[in-house]
This record gives sequence, C-alpha cells and structure tokens, in this order.
Amino acid sequence: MSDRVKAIYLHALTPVHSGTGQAVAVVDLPIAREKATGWPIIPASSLKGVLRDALSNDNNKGWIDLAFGKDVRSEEQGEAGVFCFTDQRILCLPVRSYFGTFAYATCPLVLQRLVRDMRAFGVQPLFDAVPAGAEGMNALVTKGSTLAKGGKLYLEDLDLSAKEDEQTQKIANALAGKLFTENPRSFTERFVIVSDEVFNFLCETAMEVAARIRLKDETKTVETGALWYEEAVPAESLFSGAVLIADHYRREPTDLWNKFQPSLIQLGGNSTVGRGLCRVVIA
Amino acid sequence: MNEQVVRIRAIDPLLFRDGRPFGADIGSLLAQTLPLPYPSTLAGFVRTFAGNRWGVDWADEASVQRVLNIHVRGPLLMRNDKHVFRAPADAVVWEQGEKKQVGLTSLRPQPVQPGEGSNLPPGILPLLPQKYIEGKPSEGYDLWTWDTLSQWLADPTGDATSSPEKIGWLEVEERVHVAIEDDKGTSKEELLFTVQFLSFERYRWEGQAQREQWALLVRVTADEPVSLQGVGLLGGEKRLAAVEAVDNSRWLGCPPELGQALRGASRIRLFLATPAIFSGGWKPGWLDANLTGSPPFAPNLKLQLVSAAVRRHEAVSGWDYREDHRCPKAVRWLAPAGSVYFFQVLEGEPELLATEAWLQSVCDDLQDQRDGYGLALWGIW
Repeated sequence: MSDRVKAIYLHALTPVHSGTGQAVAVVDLPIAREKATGWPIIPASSLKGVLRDALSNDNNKGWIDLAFGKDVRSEEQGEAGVFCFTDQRILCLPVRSYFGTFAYATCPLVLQRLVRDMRAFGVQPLFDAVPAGAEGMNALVTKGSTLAKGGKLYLEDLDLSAKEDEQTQKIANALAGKLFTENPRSFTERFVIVSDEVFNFLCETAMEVAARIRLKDETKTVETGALWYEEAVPAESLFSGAVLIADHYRREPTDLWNKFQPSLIQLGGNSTVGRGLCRVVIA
Repeated sequence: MNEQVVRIRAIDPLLFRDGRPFGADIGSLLAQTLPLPYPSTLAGFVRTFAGNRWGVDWADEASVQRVLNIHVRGPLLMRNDKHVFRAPADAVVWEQGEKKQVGLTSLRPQPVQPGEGSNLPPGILPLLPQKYIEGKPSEGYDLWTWDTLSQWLADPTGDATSSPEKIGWLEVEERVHVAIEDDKGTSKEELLFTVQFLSFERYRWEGQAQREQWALLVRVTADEPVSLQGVGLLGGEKRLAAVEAVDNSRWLGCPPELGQALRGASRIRLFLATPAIFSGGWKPGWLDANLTGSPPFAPNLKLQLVSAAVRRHEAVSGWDYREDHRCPKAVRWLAPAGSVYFFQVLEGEPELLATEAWLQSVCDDLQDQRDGYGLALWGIW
C-alpha cells in the first residue's frame, strides 16, 4: 500500500488565505475551517488545483491528465485523475511566545489523527505514541526548549505550566527530520504540545487578521466603504495530509511519483500581496 | 464462505449526493449530500475495493458477476464505537416544561370502532399514541443508541423504555469552490459552486466537551478470501475512507432478553435498520393479498400485517459503471430505515427471528438482499 501513498506536508512561508468567500461577521473574509474541529484547513480541492497548475508544462500534458484528470468541461470527455488528495489539516500553529519569540504549537488530537490516518494509509507514522500530560493548562516541551523558563510558558495571553518530556522530544525530532532538515533545532526548541482546549482557543484567537483599505486615486484618501478585514493562517504554520494513487491505476506507480516533485507553491487568495507561499515536502 | 465485519471510517468529510441536479446552470450550483449513504453505495464501495485487490477485469462480465456475488450487509452507524440507529417511527419524543423533560410514548395499532374510518389500505389499522402529547414532537432525536432501541423493541407498550439521548444527524460541511482563469488569475465566470460534505467527526470544547467519531459497519460475505484493509474512494469528489477489518463480534447479535421476549410471542414488530426496497412499495412483496406471508430467512413463520409506521419514502438511483451498461439506474423508492411494521403471528415460532432472521434482509429481490437493503431487527408489541 505504502508505495501508492505519500504524505504531504506544507510549510507556510507567508500567511495563507485559503478563504470561504465573504462572511457577515467582524472578519469579512474568513479562512476555511474544518467543520469537525473549527481548525484551519486547506481543502484538498485547493491543493490539487494549485499542484496541477504548478506542475504543468508544455512537455507533460499526458502525465498531468493522467495524474490530475482531463481538464475539459464536458463530462463525456472528462476522465478522473489517479491522484486523490486529502485535506491538509493544521499540524503546528505558530503562536506568539513571551520566551523564544514564537512557538510551534500542536495538541494531542492533532497528533493522534495524524498517526491514525497514516496507519490507515499503510504509511509508517513519524512517531508512534502521543504523550499524555498535555491537559488543561499543562504543556509539554522539548529538552532545552527556548519557550519555557522556570516551568512557565506564556503563549499569547495564556499562562501555562511547562514540562520537559522525552516523547515530545521524539515527535519534535521526527517532524524536524522531515520538515526542517537544514536547521532542525530552530523547530525542536520551539515545539510545544498544548491541550486540545488550549489549541482550540489559539486556533480561534491567534490567526492573523489584517485590515485592508482601498485608496481613491485622486485624493489618496480611503474610499467610502472600502475597509475590510481578512483572516489568514500565519506564516510558519505547518499542515499535513496525503496523496493516494487510486486503485483503478493498476500499473507500477514509480513513473507517476517521479514527476510529482513540487517544491514551492502559492495557495489560497491574495497571491499578488504575497499570501500563500508554501514549501511542499513529500515524504 | 468468508465472513468479515469491516469498519469504514472517513478520512475527510464525504459527499453522498442526492438526485438533485448539479452542474454549471443557475439553480443547480449546489451538490447536496444525503444524511447517510444508501446500502448500495457501501456495497459498491466494498465490491470495488475487493475487486481491485483481486485484480478483476471490470470489462469482463464473469468477473463483474463474481464481485456482485459479494454479500454486503449494512451499513450500521457507529458513534464512538457504539451502534446507533434511525429513531423508530413508532416512537414519539417530546420535550415538556421549562426543564425540557423528555417524554416518550409509542404508536400502537388501534381497532376501528363502529362509525370510525380511515383512508388506510384495507386490513391496516391506524396507529395512535398511547399517551396524550402536549405540544409537538421534538426535533433532534433522529438517532437512537442501541441500548435504548433494544429496550424499545422488547417493550410491548413503550412504557418501560428510558428516554432517548438527544443525538442529531452528522454535521454537514459546505465548501464553496471556484475555478481560476489561467490567463487572468481570477475566478472564472459561472464556475462558483458549493458542495456539501458529511463530517464524520465532531469535537467541541465549549461547555461540556464533546468528542464524536462516527463510522460505518458492514458485514461482508464472499465465496473467496478478500483482504479488506486500506484506503478506498467513497462517495463523490473522490474522497477517501479507511477500511479496517474488525472482530466479527462487533456485529450486533440479538440480546438474550429480546430473544426471550420473542419466544412464543403472538405479536411482533419488524424494525428496518437499513432502508428497504419492496416490490409492494411501502409493504413487503412477500405478503399476499390478505397481508399474510413468511419473511425471507424465516419460511416456517407465517405473519399477518396489522399496521405499519413508515416515514415518507426515499428515492435511490445511481450511475451504472458496468462497461456494458454505462447508464443511469432506474429510480426506486425505499421504505426508510426506522420504519416499523406490526404483525400478528399466525403460525410458527418467532424465536427464530432472533437467530436466523436477525439483521438479515427482508427485501424481495436477491440482489437487493445482497446489497444490504432491508436489514431487520425484531421486537414485540
């Protein structure tokens, strides 16, 4: 099974606005959130469309059509692609920290779902066990973490108790080994596992919300009614998901994978103002 | 014969499209999902999964028939690893008073008195509530736990059953999609559309924490061994679901108390755990003109239909992917899951309903039985 599945990790280099359209709320343009948890996601359809576009060139139309499907409007001529993508779920959320500048925060539920799905795919998870102890206002950090001082950890406005944990260190090392190969320590020393409740709070309150305006050409003052708020998942966020080759493709998949080598892509809206640049890591 | 119980878990939210049009025209820009997949959807999923692992040539009729012979019973819905079912149609639940105390009563057949009448088919008695109901039935009690339902089926009057837990349908997630113009980088005109998905997980942390994980359970019977482990495509939009073989004991057996209640019973109830397709429309085709007959899997039992609580019909169709067909399937009407039929026992021992006919199909057609339609649970009244 595993030769037909690859894990996909995304590392946001700039804030990502994978939106849901307009909302009648304080934030005019909110980000897409998973219904089950309310946490940010990048829908599979967004990732697939962007990868198709990023990998297309004049010489590989046959492979693109096979992998992503035939891009025609008529259903009679259409053909489904063999790549099937999952949604990209949040893996680590960068959160303002009093010590260590910012933290890569995650929680037991995020890690459990990742392990569960990788096992279902027949892929060896990066780590096996999710440590206990990240409950309530208690958090787990790595040995020598820059986030905690005197057993205390301050994320956004939250005052948490921090405990060094060996299993947390193993998870941080495993993720850094895939995603931060050049400087793993920059990740491991900022990695923290908070409780599901705290992570949920951070996913609601620690998103980036930018006020945008439009200026009148002649006067260079703000046009009436041209103030809006946009939400984005902050730069340094990590997402995880997978891509599977559908069963109906019976041939050896090596050729398909060889051409599937994305590196840097732009996801979501507002590309012209620098949003959505993501590093792709296929594992 | 190889029997295997399989748990199917959505990796991401899934789409089980209903029959409403979905396309680029105004008025059809929303792909709507059913609240639960039909049995044939799961049967098709399991067969495709198995066939691909067998290396079946889908263009070969004999191979296709080999796969169609796989008998898939289900799906049964699991919530946090416990069985839940559609609420029985012979139950009325309402909330009363400021504290919203939950009331429960049953609908039971009532003989028609001289001077009274109804427009029901001949021989069918009307169903009336056993208690006075203040107000209207309450919403949100759509699914019942097996604990409550098993009590209900063994309870002839409905008075001894504890109030059901409030369990609503799976949440629906709507996603808005756009297509992007290659040359402009803006969204394409007329290609803004919405797709609904069923979310099989629900986590909430406000107030009382809530963690719900839903899954579908099917029982697969095949002539040859089949490996049902891995990930396959289920429903629309090529979404993924994990397939996992679980211990056969996870399939639901008849509880001893219910089996005891069925022994020697003169009045029995049939509860549809999955929707049924009957040649007689809402009523089983194995009933004759006098509403008497023997259900499949219990040929020695002769029953007389007295009444039925059947919710509004549902319709099932689909697309036939067989190479030689490639056409839409005919629309058929279903008696929904949760429907309850009231029978009088004319001949035979109903105890065997707890064994031979337990969670077996009561449909008339063999292929509908193999597709998992009309799985029956039995009770008394």
